[in-house]
Amino acid sequence: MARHPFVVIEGLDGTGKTTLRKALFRLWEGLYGITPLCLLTTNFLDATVAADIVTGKYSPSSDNRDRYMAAVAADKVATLDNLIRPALPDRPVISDRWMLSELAFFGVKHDLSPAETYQQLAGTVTQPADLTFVLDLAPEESIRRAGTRRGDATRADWDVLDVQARVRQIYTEVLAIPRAYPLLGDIVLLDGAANPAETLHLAWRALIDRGLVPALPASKDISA
Amino acid sequence: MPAQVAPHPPPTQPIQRLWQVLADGLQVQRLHLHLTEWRDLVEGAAPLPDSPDIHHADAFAARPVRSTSTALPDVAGLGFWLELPAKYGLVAAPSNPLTPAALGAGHAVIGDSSQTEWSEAVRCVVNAAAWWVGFFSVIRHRGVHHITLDQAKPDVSLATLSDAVTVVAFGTAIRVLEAHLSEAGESDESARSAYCRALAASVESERRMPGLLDELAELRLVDLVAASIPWRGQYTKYAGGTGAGQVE
Repeated sequence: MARHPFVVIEGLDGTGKTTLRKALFRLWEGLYGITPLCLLTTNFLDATVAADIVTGKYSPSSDNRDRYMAAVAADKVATLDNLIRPALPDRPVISDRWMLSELAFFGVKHDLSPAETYQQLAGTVTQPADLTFVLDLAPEESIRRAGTRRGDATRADWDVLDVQARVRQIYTEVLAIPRAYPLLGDIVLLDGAANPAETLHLAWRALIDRGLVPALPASKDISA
Repeated sequence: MPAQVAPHPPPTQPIQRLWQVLADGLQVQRLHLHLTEWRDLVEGAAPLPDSPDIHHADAFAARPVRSTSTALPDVAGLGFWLELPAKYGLVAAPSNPLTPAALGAGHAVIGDSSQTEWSEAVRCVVNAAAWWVGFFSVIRHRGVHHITLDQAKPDVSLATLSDAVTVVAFGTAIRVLEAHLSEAGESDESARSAYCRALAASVESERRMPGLLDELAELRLVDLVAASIPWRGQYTKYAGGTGAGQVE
């Protein structure tokens, strides 16, 4: 059975993930006539682990690390079973963060290597993304952008330079050996410093090149 | 056997496209319902009581100067968007102060691709956006508040109306480019870039929309602007099943 793609957008805070997600949503809906489903890295679809997710994310400790890992995996399985797989026959799914962000979180907060975290999550989460976009940006600029947001969008224990620099370092480690992380699918690195229209254009091109968007009438010969 | 990634187009018309048809029809209906009222105001060069920046109604009435031979506006469902201003707009009228905002939006989308069929179509539809926003601005004082449906509304400034034109212009540009890309395919690099610029502008515009609609305040202008561009509230009027039967 044919299906649409499962696409993930990753990147530090302030790199333009939301902007790219909204733009891709409009692209799919407006040009291809297909409304994507957008979701997040955790969606609280398994109520039995919801408390563990909140505790493990906002009060991480060595005591709750394993429960948090199990809860994240359970939530992803529930998201795959209840949202992603049911959606894909009819529409693309765009996730704002997914696997890469979890690798970074456990690396920063629990000093687990990306490979260790991946191994644990991959024991439960078995469906790969088709494509992961990674928006890359210097942590200094990421912090500056994130700092302009209102309300409680930023966290004092996360949106600080040393943490974001470490997150970016983990991203770099993972992207250096993508074959070790097949659940991320194809990985496309995008410049988070580029203007949103250019970023969207590059992302769209990546989707076209991989056959992840429907063919338009005269689209077989894509000129550079 | 696992499912293969082989995206296919939707089997039927997406509901959003049908809601857009309804929204377009609403604009046409309202124009004709209020045409006499509008003519009386603009031909009498009457003052606009709730637009202190505009001294006379005919400021917004000039017939858009651009026309196009391309069929793209028709393909985009925007034939009426050009035909009605061409039919009812005044030849002898001052230049529309909303036109610079419209052309600015068009230029932002077109960029350097100024000699193409789609760019000509974009210039025409954004130019007409100034006339449409101007039309409903002229009769705004006779309308009702978009939430309370009361007659009382705050005044509206030229800056707010210019922002409204910018949003509507981006929305019409998006529709023209979608029509072009749907027909020509994705191989047109310049059109793809322009479409990305227009979509990025729509994302940027989303922050302004709630405040803009509050400032416009009047039902017909609010409906025109809200349904014109992709944002989270574009088809709220129709998605809740309440698209018909409101005060027109």
